[in-house]
Amino acid sequence: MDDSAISVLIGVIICILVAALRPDVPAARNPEWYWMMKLDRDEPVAMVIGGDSRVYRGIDPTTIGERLGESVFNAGFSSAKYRREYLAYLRRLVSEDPGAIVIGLSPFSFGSREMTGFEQAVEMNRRRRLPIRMIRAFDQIPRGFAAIDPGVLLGRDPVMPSDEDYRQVFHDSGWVESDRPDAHQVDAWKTSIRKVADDYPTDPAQIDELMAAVAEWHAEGIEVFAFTTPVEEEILRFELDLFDISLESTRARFEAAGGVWLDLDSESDLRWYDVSHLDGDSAQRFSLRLAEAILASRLTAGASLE
Amino acid sequence: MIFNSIPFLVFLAVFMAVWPHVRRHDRPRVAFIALASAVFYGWWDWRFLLLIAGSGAIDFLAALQIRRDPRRRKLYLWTSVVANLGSLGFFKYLVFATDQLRWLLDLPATQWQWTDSLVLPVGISFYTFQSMSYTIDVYRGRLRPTRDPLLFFAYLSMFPQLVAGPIVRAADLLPQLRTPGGFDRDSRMDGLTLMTWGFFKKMVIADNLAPFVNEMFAASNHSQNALLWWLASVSFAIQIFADFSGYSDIARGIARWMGYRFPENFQQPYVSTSLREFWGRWHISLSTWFRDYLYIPLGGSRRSAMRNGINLLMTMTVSGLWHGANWTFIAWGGLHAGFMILERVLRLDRLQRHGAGAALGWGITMVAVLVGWVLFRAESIQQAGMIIRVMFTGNWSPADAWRSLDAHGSLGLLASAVATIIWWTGSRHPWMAWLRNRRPVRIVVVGTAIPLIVFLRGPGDVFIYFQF
Repeated sequence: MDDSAISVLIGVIICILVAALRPDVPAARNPEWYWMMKLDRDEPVAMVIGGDSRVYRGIDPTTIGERLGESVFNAGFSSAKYRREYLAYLRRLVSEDPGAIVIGLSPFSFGSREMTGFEQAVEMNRRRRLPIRMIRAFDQIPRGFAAIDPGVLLGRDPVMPSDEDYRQVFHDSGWVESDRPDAHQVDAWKTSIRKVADDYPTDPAQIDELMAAVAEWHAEGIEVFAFTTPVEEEILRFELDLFDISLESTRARFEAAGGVWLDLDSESDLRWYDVSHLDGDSAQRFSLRLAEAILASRLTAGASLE
Repeated sequence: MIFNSIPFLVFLAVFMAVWPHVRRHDRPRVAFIALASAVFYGWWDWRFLLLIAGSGAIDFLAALQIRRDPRRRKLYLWTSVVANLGSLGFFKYLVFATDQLRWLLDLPATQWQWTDSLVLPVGISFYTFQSMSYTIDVYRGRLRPTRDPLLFFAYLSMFPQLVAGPIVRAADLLPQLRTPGGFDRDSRMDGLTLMTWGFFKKMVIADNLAPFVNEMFAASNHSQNALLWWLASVSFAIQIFADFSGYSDIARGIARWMGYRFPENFQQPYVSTSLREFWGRWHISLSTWFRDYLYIPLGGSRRSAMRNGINLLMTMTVSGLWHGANWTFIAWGGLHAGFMILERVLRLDRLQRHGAGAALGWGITMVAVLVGWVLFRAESIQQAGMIIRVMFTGNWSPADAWRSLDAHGSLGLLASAVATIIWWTGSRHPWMAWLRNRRPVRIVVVGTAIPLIVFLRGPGDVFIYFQF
């Protein structure tokens, strides 16, 4: 074997060893594959959390699972709406008895947008050329060869990449840990959400569809919880007004259908990096509150049964 | 396909597996190079192949006719030049020209809107110049034209240097391609060493500096920190050198591996003590092309001082324009011409030969080069003007400067500093050269450089010179 072949062999062996032995790099996932695998998840969970980007970026299921002692999955998708297909997807994920479904509600959860992140993932899944098992296997390989973030070499957070723009870590739990520098622009957010409200106003039929699903799940013995996705109070009031949603009436209907509404604290110790979405640390703090609220609710329900 | 991509690595692996078996036989060797190059180039867009084949056919036939029909040789030469410059002008400069005309004649923006859909074929600036040099050298009697179209296309389209140089003269490459080349253990190791060094420069140095440079030169950046802009200019200077010389080294490395030799395209340009010396060390294949086919035919330095200045200005302005259809490139060429004229007028070459004079010459040259790079990189003359003004009149707060330098930029600067120290040590200490030539040392160094490239690579950018 000549010198050049030996050199290449040495290089390749070192690369494979580093790729195999280094810790996982969740930040280096292929985003397209991530959403397809999320859709095609076949592992049963005790609790699934549904919702839009405020859920998939703002809820850490691992924190909840550790507090409750059960398996939890974040089934949030970008701009997800509670239409039949998405509701069926949430139901399919809960396979343990009795199981629980947690609904994260934003003022725009009932907007009329047709093609959301969920529908896009369905479309990508339909058009994919590789079987999902192969995608799952291949998903591991490139991450091992991901570039080492120089921020890590400089002593910074080894998990969150130091990309100068969006920082996203795609966890297996369905949570996309996120952060973004200099993105907190209230006026810009209000302008963009105004446009969304104009283009995709609230569709009352979706509220009916959700409540019917809640009643059906409750009848099956599944615990159904709901909470308002965390956002600053001023922004929440602004959005509720824009989308013409009454939290009180939504809550009343939800509870009448058999669901449990959780009141959660969106206080000042939370940080929204772009007005709408929680950063990683805040997401974990809020997730712990969600877990505590579920626990408290179960204790109350247990006490009332006695 | 670009060099730093998985498809190219697969392509190269297949090429390297087949090459040893075809190289010994003339027709298969040449056909294989042409076929592989067609796959390489057509990967971007198969239509590009029609263009290179068409312009190549014109030059191939023109060169043959120059030899067969000497009375009309000038006609055939001009046919080749017009065809090459015509296609270059159409794809690369038509949009720029129509924009200037629209502005001059105050025409509506919708006039000639169809030009916005023109796609610039990758590498057109390089292969048209390479092809023209063939016809011109035949015309001048320096080269006999080949009668083998396959050999000619293998020369013209040879994939390592097709899209970003070096511009290889037919007199250098055609004789090599007629032979199997010196394919042996040493050529393979030399080639791999060059390739590895090229990938390191491109992927670890240039690609890590790119995000910081891009952020600095974004249109919305109006920083008034002079230190920061000098840092940005130095970073871009390192980035463009590492990017372009890295590509050249990869190209030379592939050729060397095959058993052929491409000329060096860079020789430590940033040690130059004058701009004249800088142009003898930077993008040598292009600067010698302009010297041989434009500057000297215009009269070079053999005319009066005034005429020489004009020749220099014309050559450097055209050189600037070659890089891109924007006034910033023209201004960049003009700036370099201005400094070279000044050097000549003030006879600075006498000063720059001596110790302190050489240091002063180096300092002045680097300032000129760095200011020139601002022109080269800026989006517009206005932006360049703002930056250059701040570089000389802004504040020098170090805190702001270091805060803006991200982790990738720090790694890029660190990697370039380490590489410079290794090079500097190697050039001054014989024991380093001795160590470098030890077989086990070379094997281990190249082998460990590969994972360094894989795991320290930057966010990635297209090779800068691909856009030319």
